[in-house]
Amino acid sequence: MKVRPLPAWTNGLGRVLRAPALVLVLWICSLAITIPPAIALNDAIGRHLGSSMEADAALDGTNYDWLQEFRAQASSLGRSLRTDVIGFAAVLDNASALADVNFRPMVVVVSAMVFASLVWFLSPGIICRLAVDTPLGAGSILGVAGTFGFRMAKLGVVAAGVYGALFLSVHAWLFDEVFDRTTRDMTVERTAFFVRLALYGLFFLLVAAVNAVFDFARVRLVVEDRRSTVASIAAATRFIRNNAGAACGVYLLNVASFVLVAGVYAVVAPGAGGGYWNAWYAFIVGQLYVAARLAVKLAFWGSEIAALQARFDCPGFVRALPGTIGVEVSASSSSPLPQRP
Amino acid sequence: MRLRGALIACALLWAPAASAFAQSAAPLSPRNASYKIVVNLEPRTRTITASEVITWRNITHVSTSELQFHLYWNAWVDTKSTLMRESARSGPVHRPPGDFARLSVDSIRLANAGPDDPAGDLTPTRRFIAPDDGNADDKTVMVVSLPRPVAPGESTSVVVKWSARVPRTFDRTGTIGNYYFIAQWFPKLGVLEDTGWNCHQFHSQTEFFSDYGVYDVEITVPRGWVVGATGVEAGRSDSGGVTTHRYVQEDVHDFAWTTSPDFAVRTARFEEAGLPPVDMRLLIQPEHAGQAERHFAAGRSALRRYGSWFGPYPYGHLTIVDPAWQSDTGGMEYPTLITGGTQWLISRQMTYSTPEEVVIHEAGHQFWYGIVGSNEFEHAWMDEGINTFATARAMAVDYPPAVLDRYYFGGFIPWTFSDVRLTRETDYNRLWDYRLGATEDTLSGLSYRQRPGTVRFFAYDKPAVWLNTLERWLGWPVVQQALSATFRDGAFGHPSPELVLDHLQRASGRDLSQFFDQTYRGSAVFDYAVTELSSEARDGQFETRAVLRRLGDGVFPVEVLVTFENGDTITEHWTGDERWRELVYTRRTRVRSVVIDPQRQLLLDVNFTNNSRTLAPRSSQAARKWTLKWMVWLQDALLSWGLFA
Repeated sequence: MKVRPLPAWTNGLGRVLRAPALVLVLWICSLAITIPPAIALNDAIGRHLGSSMEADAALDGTNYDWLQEFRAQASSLGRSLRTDVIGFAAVLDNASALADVNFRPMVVVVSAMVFASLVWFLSPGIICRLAVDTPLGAGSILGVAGTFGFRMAKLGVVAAGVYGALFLSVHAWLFDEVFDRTTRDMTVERTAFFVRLALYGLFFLLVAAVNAVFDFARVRLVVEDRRSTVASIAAATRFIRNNAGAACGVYLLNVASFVLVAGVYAVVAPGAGGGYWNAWYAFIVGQLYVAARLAVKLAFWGSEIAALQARFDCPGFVRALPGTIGVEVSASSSSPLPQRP
Repeated sequence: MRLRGALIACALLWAPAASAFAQSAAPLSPRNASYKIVVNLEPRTRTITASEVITWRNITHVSTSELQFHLYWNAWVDTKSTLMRESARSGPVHRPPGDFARLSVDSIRLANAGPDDPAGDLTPTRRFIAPDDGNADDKTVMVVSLPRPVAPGESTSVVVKWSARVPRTFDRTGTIGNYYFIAQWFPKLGVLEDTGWNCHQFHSQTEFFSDYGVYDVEITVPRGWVVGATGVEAGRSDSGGVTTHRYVQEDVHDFAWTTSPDFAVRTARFEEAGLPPVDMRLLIQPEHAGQAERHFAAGRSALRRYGSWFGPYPYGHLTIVDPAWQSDTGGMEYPTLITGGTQWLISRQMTYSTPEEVVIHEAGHQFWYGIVGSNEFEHAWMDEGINTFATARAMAVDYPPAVLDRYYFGGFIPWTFSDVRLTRETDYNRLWDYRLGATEDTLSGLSYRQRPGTVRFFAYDKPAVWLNTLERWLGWPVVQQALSATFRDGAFGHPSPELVLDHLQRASGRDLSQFFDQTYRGSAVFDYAVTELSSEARDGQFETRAVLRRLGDGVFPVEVLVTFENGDTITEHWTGDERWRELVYTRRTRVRSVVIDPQRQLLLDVNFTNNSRTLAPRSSQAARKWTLKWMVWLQDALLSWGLFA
């Protein structure tokens, strides 16, 4: 059956919206990971400000002089507090660091590794939940995650290797060699900017391709209960190749929804002024943005699952579910997926 | 030989014009080192061939039997020069061989010697010396012996012929694409002082020093290329595919020029009651053409403020060069010629990246470097520090507060933090940077000998913060009077730091020796703190105790403002020389806060946060506010890297 991207995407998004607990769980994970270093940072700031009246200016706006003084005396965690944390600059800062593979503070590196590992571990359960499109208990989701744990670990090792090669070798080649060589005698910044933009486009095309392959590999691994990592990747690649329009369309729609979320946040993200309650308001707006981004993240998987199931005309199908999960899924889920195309 | 012939022919041809020009105004400077240069740029081979006639007069009280020249471009012929070795201390220098310069001095002759007079040929006597570090591989100082000494008051003329390969830019000199910025490019005499030649090697941390004179320079470039240079264009002629531009400038101590076919040329005029008018010429990159007026406005700000604070700008013209992207030639000053620096995408508001600060700063150098010709090798703070202070002041007077910006995605995409205001005192004076290096060295040390990597602390940061501290302590009229007197007495000469200190002392009418000992000759750290504050009820009243401490070794008289809950205030005066002091009050009301130096006169205090204490601190709220922002940033980072999860 031919897959069309827009229905697959709306279907996938619908699955995510019907599973808000997934977004909630991931949001809690992201928050929980940031809380321990946040407590340490809060203490460090509090200690530095002490009973100083400089706190008033730091509270009512941006006391930039205090911020620099604090950073000059702070540990590496404290030095990660920069003006880049204000509003939408946070998004630019992180996206730019990713695009340019800039060194990040240790707290970011460690937290990101924990978060990525956690999401990777939970992803079979999440994919299963989105695939059956029916409520599952936390135990079932964790059970699926556990069942697929070893296979996901193997896939994770391969993914880490490929992403590592992309972000270290390919990126270095593109931006340290190609960009530098291309622009070496360039004297017009605008031209150089467009060269860099083109290289970003090329690089993120590669990243997107790899990302799509590993996403589909995970989906196929879980939905079809595949045991071989290599076979899952091969199946994902075949699927993308045979359904290139749909796969690309779905991916682009998801990217567009991410851009939309980021764009809305750019407009509504509060700055640093306004005092204590404004800080909470900014935090809440920030959390809504985080939740929306997590929903977009899940929509990638949801729409990929929808595309796969639509291709084989078996909505809700999951081949092998541990325990009672298979019983809970709809009748159509028992329809056989064609033999691992 | 052909060059020499051309030089002589040109000299004869232009002699009347030059003479007329020279008579246009009374000399402002000793004009004891004048240069008549003919240079031809060949972009295809990236080479210049040139010849110069140097006329030098000995204005010291001692004779000399040699001439010492700076050959700055020899610093970039390989990685063995002192400059390159110093640069390598902050990281290895990886440059392809094609980037390096080549400089060949082909001959040096006495100008008045006949062509066959062997005594007139000084070439065989040339040798290289390394007076600063003895580096035998450094060839940035060349010496030639004279057949007879030049006595005080006597003059001598030499003709130097040389050729050079223009480097890919090093230290804000060189070429990229078809943009050329040619500075420190000609064999240039050092400065003879009563103690001997002052001709330092080229160092990575410091700049230049030379005598004043008249520069008459003929520059030949491909036809259609725009030229900007020190001075004003006094003639132009086309020949074949090239154009020769003649630039003349009196009473300056250097000459730089630039050329490119890509410059867009804009002009404007500065006019201000009480100050001489100045014609401004802007050579701007076409992609920045929309920013032309911002460059001119900044130029006007500098000419207006520096002119009225210190003394008028006498040259009548100023060329502002907007350097080509990644040329690394921006933010530099030469007599009547400066380079700015901006980006394609910039904020509408003034930020660190918009052209205002750099143009004001470099235009300000026309006063503190150009007119007051201090020794940048030895006392870099005299031009950079005073100028950084004055730049910050001019910006505060002429512009609304600047805001912070940052560039992302390879440095191309700006983001303006509209609610992060930059202030003159802490940001443009670079207090934030001074804190990091307060004890690295002393301001009075010779700049080229200061600890590697610390030049910014002592050339820029500390003197700016130091002078602003004096302004807040003694008042602007005192500092302005002292600096204008320094400007007056040091104009077109080579003043020593003592001139600044003496004028500050005199203008203030008080003994500043302790302050200078701590901040100029020493590296005292100032850090006053309120370490304890309590207000306890006792017999219907409140006993308030505050402990003030001097945590650093620097001593400075400070005010202490005590504020009570009913709004009453007490201002105490503390000489600040004790290590601690306790304030005790018994009143009907509790204390609210104690602040040391509430007006923040002592900008040199490296830790201002501990200067105050209140019984109703809001630090936990402030900490939470910034932590909440940081959390969202960290969560966003997780999501960005979670792309792979």
